[in-house]
Amino acid sequence: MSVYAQHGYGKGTKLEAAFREGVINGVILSPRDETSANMATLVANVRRDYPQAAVLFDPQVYAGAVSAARDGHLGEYPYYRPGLTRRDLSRPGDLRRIPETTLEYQRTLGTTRLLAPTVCFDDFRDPWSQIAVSLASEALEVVQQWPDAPRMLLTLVIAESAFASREGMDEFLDLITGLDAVGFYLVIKRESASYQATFEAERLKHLLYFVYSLSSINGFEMICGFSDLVGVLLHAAGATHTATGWFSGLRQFTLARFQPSSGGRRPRPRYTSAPLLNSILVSELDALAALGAHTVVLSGTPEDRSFSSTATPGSLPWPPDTAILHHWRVLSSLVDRIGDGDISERLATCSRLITNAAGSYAALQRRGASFNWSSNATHLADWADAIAGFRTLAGI
Amino acid sequence: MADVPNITPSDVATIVPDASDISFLADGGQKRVFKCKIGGQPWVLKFMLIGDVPAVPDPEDELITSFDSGADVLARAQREVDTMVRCECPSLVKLGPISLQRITFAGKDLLYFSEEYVDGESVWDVLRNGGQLPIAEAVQMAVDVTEAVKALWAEARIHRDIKPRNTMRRRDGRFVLLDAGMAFDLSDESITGAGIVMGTRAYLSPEQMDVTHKRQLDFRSDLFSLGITLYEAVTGQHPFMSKGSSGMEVLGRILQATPASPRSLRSNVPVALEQIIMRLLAKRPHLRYRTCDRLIAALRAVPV
Repeated sequence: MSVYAQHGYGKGTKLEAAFREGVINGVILSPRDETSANMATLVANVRRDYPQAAVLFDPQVYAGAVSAARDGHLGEYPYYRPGLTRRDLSRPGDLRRIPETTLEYQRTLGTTRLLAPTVCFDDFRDPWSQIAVSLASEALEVVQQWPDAPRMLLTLVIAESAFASREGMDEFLDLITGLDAVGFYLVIKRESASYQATFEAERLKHLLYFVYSLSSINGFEMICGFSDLVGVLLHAAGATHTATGWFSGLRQFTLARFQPSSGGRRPRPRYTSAPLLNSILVSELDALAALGAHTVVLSGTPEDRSFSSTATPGSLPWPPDTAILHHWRVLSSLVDRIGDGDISERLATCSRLITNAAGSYAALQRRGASFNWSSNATHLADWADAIAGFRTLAGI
Repeated sequence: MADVPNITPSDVATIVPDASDISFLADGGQKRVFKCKIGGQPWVLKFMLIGDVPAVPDPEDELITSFDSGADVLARAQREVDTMVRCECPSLVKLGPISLQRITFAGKDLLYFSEEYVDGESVWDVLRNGGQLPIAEAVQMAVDVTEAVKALWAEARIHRDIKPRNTMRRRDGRFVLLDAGMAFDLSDESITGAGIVMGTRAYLSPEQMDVTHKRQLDFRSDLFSLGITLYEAVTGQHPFMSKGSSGMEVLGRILQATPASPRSLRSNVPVALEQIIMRLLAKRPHLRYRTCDRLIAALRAVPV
């Protein structure tokens, strides 16, 4: 079980419940969403109550480069600098100072791993990618002076569009695999702010290759943040941990999270279906029940036990805290099913899950079921194509 | 040959009065090499001619060099000596009692120095008679050469010319890497300018062929050359070269072709060793090994 919680606004007791239930084994904390005083208490409490849990703190330095960022509590943190420009990051003094202050803060916080600061980039060959590598190199030099510090992972925040080019990706991999690092915390910046499981096949193929090269080939620890259900595929490619959170904004990463908001409505409740490898609307679950078909999509967790015996699951309470506990449990069980056999076996298991999910969708459609654009089977074909393409690319 | 100093053992005796039992050993890489004794111990003496030397491929090795000025020859010799002094590793050849000397002899401007005499035979000697190394010896060779690559990289250097001719098997069964003359110090940009490819054609890594030097070389380039050498040592065949293939064809295959599986050429090659060889021959550095220690651990796990 290798799923971490992606922390954000409105944690309530979600983390404690998930640790207690054993459905996560770590958390990646977001300073944007927590005061610095509460953050210190939160870290101390998790470490005291769940000593085996991994506790990581994403310093979110990349948010400083977002114009007029909606950066929440980040301004309270001593290392954070809003309004970062490329010019700021081309001065050697700044390039050193940012990792120094960021990592020093994390040392005092007492996390189990340090996460290096970084900037987001859209293309493997753009100047921001070079800045990201320079920051990583500086961070490695900083921690070399601290032999007793927790081990540090380098952070990469990369736009999904960057994975359209294999040539640029290969060059970048050549570069970063030469760094003397323990591992990476990888975040993919998605283009669409609306959560969906789809991921363009060519880009996903290259992302799988990226993760495979870093983890399976080069032996780096590999944590894929904000990866949600796609994380199941990333585990098959070699990721050591994946992370997801309770809101759709914590299940995939977009810079919209740090940009001025135009408001929005509360998201409709969703249900995570292991057989469909997707999250569907609870109202869709009701519609399936009306067809007498909803048990096909149930995941079989303690949280959804009462759904199987009712014709109107939507009428049963499904509070956000229960929904996220169920979501983490489903993800953990899927990751467990991928297992830790060799990569070919893991990919084969993943492909079987996708084939079965596609079969379930087809059977439901034959019975008259229909799904919203964010709940339908579109993602499965992309995922299957991506795995097949990745196998060819990597010679697996 | 135009680029090798035309001196004889008797010339050597005049130049280095402390040397005795002098015999010609080899020509190559713009050097003339003699075996001798100094203080009763066997050593090698290497002589180079300083002067402008046109780029002439070595007919056997197809060594690729640039047009060498006298300054280049001097820099390369200094680098070789410096590398031997700096890198403490049993599988790198050692500097002898005579460090780099510059003299004028018979009107010629010469450089010379001494280095350890390695009593044994090169992997090339084994291969040219149609032979192969026993699997255990091939693995030992790979471990020893990787140790040498690691020692060089600790000094921010890469060898750039790993090949069977530069890999000697000592009488005790251990291997030693010769000829650090091409070794590249990453801190010295002047040694390799844009448009210059250094190394032996059939053992170049894909990234060594990038004349624009957009791709920075690191020790993983040496691992590719080791992969070719190991493939040859195990199978008796070069992975990218066949009879009659031109130099350009070989370069093209290094960039594009996937070699035949070593087990298809020699059935008793352990699967684990084949996987290591094929990984060393990956076109991109990130698909090889990110540290020498990881490679050594993988080699030591090969059942032999």
